[in-house]
Amino acid sequence: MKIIKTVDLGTRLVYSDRLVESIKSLFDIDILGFDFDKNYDNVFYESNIIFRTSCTSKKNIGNNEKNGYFFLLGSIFDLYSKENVSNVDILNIKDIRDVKFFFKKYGGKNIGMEFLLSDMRYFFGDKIGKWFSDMKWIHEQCIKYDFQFILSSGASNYSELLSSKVFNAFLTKINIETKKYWNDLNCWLNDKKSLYWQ
Amino acid sequence: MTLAKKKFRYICIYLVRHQHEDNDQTLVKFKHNFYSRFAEIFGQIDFYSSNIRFLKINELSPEFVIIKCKLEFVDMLLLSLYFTSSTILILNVSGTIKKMKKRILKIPHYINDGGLPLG
Repeated sequence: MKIIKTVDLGTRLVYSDRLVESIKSLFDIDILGFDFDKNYDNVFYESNIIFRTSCTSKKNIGNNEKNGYFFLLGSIFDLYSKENVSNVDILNIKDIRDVKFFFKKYGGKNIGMEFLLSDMRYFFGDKIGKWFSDMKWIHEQCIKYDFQFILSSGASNYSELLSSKVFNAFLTKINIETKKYWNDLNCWLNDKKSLYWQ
Repeated sequence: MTLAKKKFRYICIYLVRHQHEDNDQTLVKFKHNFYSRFAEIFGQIDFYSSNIRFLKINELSPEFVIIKCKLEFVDMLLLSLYFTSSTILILNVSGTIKKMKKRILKIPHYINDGGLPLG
């Protein structure tokens, strides 16, 4: 039987073995993404950890690629930036205006399109309603143009962390089948890993 | 004619007490935030249909708050909890209080041992 793992790729917390254990126990999240810091060493749960780094700070990874850590290269979507994001693994979207153009330009490159839930946590009710409606549309576009739709907590403190049940509630509200979402995300990560270790 | 039995779910949250407030004051503020957020996002009709109740369980530490609601409104309740401005951790969803208690009794070990430095 295939095991589907729950994933939160976008936390802004500082990695510790204890934190990973706690999050697994309390929130039932199997795989966590952390921003990489070059001081991290002896990461115990390396198979459950994904480190994130931006294009500009990739050189800071150093020998850690050889230590067996898995890195995802990320960037923030900015329509007016001239940065070529075709090599980026995961793109963080803050503002969905004009994202349509982006779908057409980078379609088929299997880029992850990530939305942080912490960005919209304190929105007013009308904006939350619009966010859910926008997400439905974006999810459809992601399927059409071969992007991976990703929801992450964006947690910078513990109260912003989400359990798998809350993630599933978000997905259900966006009309995404939860099992399919987790399965697709697992497959996407495995694809990225196999390319990474080539 | 048989009436279908209503199903409920129990949601456990960990409510972080504010400085200069006791647990009751924090809970009152949280309830106010939570109710208004639920009604704001999902509307008054769903709010009243969800039959939300706060349960007091003596064996548990006051930081653990149990909320009961109708099964079909669990997702709405979880989302409203997430959108509430109070500092909380949404921990468990369970079908019975007995199961919920069992799970909660395992939790303090993780929180108090410095796994999650709260408060």
